[in-house]
Amino acid sequence: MATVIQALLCAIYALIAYEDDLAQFSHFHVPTIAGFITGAIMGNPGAGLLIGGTCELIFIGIYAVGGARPPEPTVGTIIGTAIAIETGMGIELALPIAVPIAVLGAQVFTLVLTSSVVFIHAADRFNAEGKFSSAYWLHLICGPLMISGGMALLVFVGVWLGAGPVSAFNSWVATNVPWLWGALGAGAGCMVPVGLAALLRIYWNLRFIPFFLLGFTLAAVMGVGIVPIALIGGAVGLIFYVYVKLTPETQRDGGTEEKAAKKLTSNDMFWAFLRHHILQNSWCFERMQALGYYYAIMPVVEKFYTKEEAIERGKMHLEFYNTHPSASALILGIDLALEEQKQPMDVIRSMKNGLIGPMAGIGDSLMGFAARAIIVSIGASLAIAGNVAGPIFILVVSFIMFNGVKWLLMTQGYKMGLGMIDEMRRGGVEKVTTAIGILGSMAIGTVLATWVSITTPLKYVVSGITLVTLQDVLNGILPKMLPLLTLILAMTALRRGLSITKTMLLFFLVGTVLAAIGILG
Amino acid sequence: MPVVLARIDDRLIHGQITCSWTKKFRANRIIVVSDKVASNPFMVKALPLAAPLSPDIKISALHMNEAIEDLKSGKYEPDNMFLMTENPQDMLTLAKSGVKFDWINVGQQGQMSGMKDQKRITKTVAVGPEQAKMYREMAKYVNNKLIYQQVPEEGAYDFLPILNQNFPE
Repeated sequence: MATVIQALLCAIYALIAYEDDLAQFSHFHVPTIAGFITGAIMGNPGAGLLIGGTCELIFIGIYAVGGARPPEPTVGTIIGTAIAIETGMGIELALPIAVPIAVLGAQVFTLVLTSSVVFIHAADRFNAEGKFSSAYWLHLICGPLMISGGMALLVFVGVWLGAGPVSAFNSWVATNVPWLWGALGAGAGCMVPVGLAALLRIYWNLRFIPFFLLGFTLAAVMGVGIVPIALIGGAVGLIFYVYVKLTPETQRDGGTEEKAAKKLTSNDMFWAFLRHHILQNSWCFERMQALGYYYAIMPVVEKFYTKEEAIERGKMHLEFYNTHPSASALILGIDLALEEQKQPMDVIRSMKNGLIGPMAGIGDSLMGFAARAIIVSIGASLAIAGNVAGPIFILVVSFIMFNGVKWLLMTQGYKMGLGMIDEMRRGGVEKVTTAIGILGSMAIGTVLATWVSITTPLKYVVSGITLVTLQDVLNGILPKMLPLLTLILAMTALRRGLSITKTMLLFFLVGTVLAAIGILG
Repeated sequence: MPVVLARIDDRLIHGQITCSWTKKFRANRIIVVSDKVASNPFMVKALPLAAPLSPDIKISALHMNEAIEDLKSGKYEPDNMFLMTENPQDMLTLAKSGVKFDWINVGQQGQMSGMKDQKRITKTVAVGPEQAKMYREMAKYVNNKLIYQQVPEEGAYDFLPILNQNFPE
């Protein structure tokens, strides 16, 4: 049994990690980092790196959009890693634990996000009485108390009590079905192409397929590592971004936007930026990020309006709001300009309601899927190779990306006001998308070729002499052919409408059975 | 079968549509049917930005009468099309007008603008007695295939039984 201290440390990490995820501050919660830190707490950081990196690849295609709750990789990885190290097993035990725990974690997450609704109702009352700072406090405590707090509790219980029953089961397995863990490990390996397929589906578009094939071939045939390939992909993306001219959709209209004298100080801007980070700290199914947005914008509203007006505007900002938490910074920036110009509430409401959908579409595809996938696939690859630089790379690059993007969007939005949309339509978004798409597709191809090992032990033996080994024959045609075939099968299943979770389960079961009867492994 | 998804969602086109539903149905056209949206130049400009990784998907916002005319004249026949409305009223009008779709997807509703005597009946859908009537009526046009589902990866629920539980006929 893990000590209470270890369980507590894991829970504290989970608390910080979920807060970081809500805030989109640095990807501190992703499996690579979760595995490494849990490994360090449990006394085996090396095993943690390998487990975390592998979990990363399994869950890479999973990202929560809108109110949908897919499996929760973070709790799955922490509990899976802790139990595997505790029982002295290893990755083959960690993966079969991590996946079901992640699914359970999604149920717990839904529960806490449903209960957190009481906070925004209380905030409604405080706002009506003009007690703005009480409403701010509600927003601040909701995250650690309910959302990340709930997940941390799950982690504590799982790490503290999980190893006992698993260990008993394990010794039963060791005496009765000694081949089981090996087969389960091979089955878990078959889940990785499913995760990659789910991610690749987002890019599935003729423009990006060549780059996927390029990344795959460079890695599979020539053995090029992910860091050099990322550099090549980055270079190609950059070449596209810099040299390709897109025909502008609309003519420049010369900034006719009416500008009031700037009254916001840089201090105001910086505080709005900081407060906006914790946009999702009181997320609930009813109005989602509304209280978070209120928390970010209200100090500026308080500055420009009388108390009565601020109460009315506060009411408006407590209305439903949900978008991609980083892309939201653009809406905040435009709103800052509009509040400063004392625009009527209708203008602001219509700007917010008009932009939350498109900004969610942009943010979810570009940051949620594409950019995250590039960063974590490099980090996970380094981690699986046993390199501590993996988690560090993810942390540093994500921190720069999230904070840079949010700051840029907010300041540009503020500068351009409502004219921002014309600016984006002039091709900026499309260029960024293509550059990210090129790099992302190459990274997925590389990860598939480098870290997915699905092999077959089948061979043709005559009187004790091995004549042909099937794997050698396959390697002669194309190294890493089986992972590629598995990915294509997974893509087909997903395109037929099978859900990601079900596809994973199916591949896991089929892989385990094939390994048990000696076809895979 | 041109209309592959008819969805009621007051956030209109967002991540669930561009990262999930369009992948499942391989959509190449999304039409938002709403007088309010189509007459707001800001939103007409903002909507097409929503699907950056799928530039082949055409996105447009149409007034109700334009939409009905175009859809019935078969203008978009070869496309895999999504029809989206902000609220049940608009979806009902479309169904009544004779535009054909096999099922209606209820995604998110009633969170952005309050309704009279509204009640939240699923995680992301609130309904008032007025709207309950509309849902029942539109169900007749699609063989009762009214499904509550946020994304294809999540469970699909028959919407009418949930409605009947909360608003007995």
